[in-house]
Amino acid sequence: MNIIELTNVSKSFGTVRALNDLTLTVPEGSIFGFLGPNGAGKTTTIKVLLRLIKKDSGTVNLFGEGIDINSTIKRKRIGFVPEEFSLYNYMTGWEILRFNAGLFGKKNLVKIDELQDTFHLPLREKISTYSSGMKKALSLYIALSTEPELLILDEPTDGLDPVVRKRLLDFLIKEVAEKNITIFFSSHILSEVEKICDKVAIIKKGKVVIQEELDKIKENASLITVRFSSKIDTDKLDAIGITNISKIDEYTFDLKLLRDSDTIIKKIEDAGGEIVRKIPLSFEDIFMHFVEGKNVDTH
Amino acid sequence: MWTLIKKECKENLTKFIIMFIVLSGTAFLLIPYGYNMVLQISPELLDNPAVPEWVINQLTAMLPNLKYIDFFIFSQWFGKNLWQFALFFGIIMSIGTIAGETERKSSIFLFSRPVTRTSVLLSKVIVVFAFLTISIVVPTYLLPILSNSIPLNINMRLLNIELLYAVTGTLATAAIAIFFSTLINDRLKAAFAAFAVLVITIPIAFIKGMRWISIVNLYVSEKVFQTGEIYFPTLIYGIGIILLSLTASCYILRKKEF
Repeated sequence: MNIIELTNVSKSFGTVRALNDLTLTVPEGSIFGFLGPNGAGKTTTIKVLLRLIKKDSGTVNLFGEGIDINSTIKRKRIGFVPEEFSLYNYMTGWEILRFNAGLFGKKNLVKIDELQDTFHLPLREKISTYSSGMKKALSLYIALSTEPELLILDEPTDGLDPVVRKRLLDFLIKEVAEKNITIFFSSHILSEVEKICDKVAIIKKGKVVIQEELDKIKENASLITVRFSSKIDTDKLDAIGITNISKIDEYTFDLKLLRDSDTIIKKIEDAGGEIVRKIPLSFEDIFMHFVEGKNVDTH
Repeated sequence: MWTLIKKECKENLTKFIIMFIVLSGTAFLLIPYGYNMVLQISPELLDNPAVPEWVINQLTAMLPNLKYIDFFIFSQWFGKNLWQFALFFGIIMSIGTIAGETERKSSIFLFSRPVTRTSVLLSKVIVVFAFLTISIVVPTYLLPILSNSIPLNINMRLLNIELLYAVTGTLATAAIAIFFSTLINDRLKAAFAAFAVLVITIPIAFIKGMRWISIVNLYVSEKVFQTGEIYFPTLIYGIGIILLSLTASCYILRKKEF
């Protein structure tokens, strides 16, 4: 079952189109990386999922049904770590955890001891004394303390030092392995996504440009150098769907393969080309290609 | 809901204590000290040539009525001290309800929890209304207790009716402030808008046939004092403002994006 399904979702703020026919599916039990540069629409997508903002058009399904159906009950199944928010500074760590549990209708807090072993937060102190990294960790406590089935994390490692960041990622991997929860992990830090996610979507200007299993994306992505025995006929290549080539000389060109690589290689070979070099692309190169459309660094 | 109410109580407790102390303190000063001061104005003062004529005219008009304890409470407590403080505190206590959450960005946390927006608003309204009502009712009932020291008997039926109007007026003020707090994301701007509405309606109320428009008239209904009976149109107007403002607030909050 897909935990999250967005189909042709659009949202505009005035003249700015934040989401543009966005389509996305997140399977149950996956760690789904939601990648994109700042302003791509990641937070807007999350806010639509949580009904903090309303979509202009399209359909959004959570746990197999529309977000407007039983929305309060659905939110009981979600843990959310926002990118930017504030907690009640006059409360202590324990007080906010109890307050949150009360809103979820739960009397007992779970995971706190386990989280404390990892993050060591001063829960008896007021939140006003916490650093931004500690507040971020506390928001993870809040999200996990109600045993969510879906964990939505919006830039969860922003403001965390490298040690805590590593602990957090390890904790999430363990959590998925033990509890089979689904994690929707929004980030622009590629190394983190690469480390923990099994499926990713890259969003650009409010539209998903690729959505695939991470291994498959990396497996398909390569830079090939093709040599022809005769001069390259670009019209002929265009006709068989080979575009965006970088000519090296009259006989040789480079081509980035990101999808359907087997099909494209076959077309090239049928046209008389020979693959003389194949270099796998790094995840960063792949991301840059989709987001910036920049040339791939082959070094 | 109970979790939300507890949180609201904690957030508003300091403001409630300050309001309670200020109004109770004012009640203690009003009777017997304020009343005794009126009593001590000597009739000979009116013959003193050093006193300007306009002051003599004012005193002559006021003194006989002011010495009458029910009128004293009507004019000085309900008509002056209570409405000024209650109006001010009504706005101060209500203005942070939604604008406060938005301003400090806790709204993203709060409205992503499994609670309806209506229940969030309702919990805030319940706490603000309860605190305001206690802050008005308790000091007002101090007046008859304190008046025993004069000693003078207060007309309790009249006091209760006047109190009903004062509570309605204060809650109507608070409801207007809650409406602006929901509409405007900035507490200061929302407070300014609420004050502006209340202040603008005061001079408009002097226009013939427009007296009903001012919330202040809910605190001091002359008709109530003169007849000693509940004057329903004013009361219904006050309750109408409360219901309309809260319904509009609820509608705006449900549509609001965070």
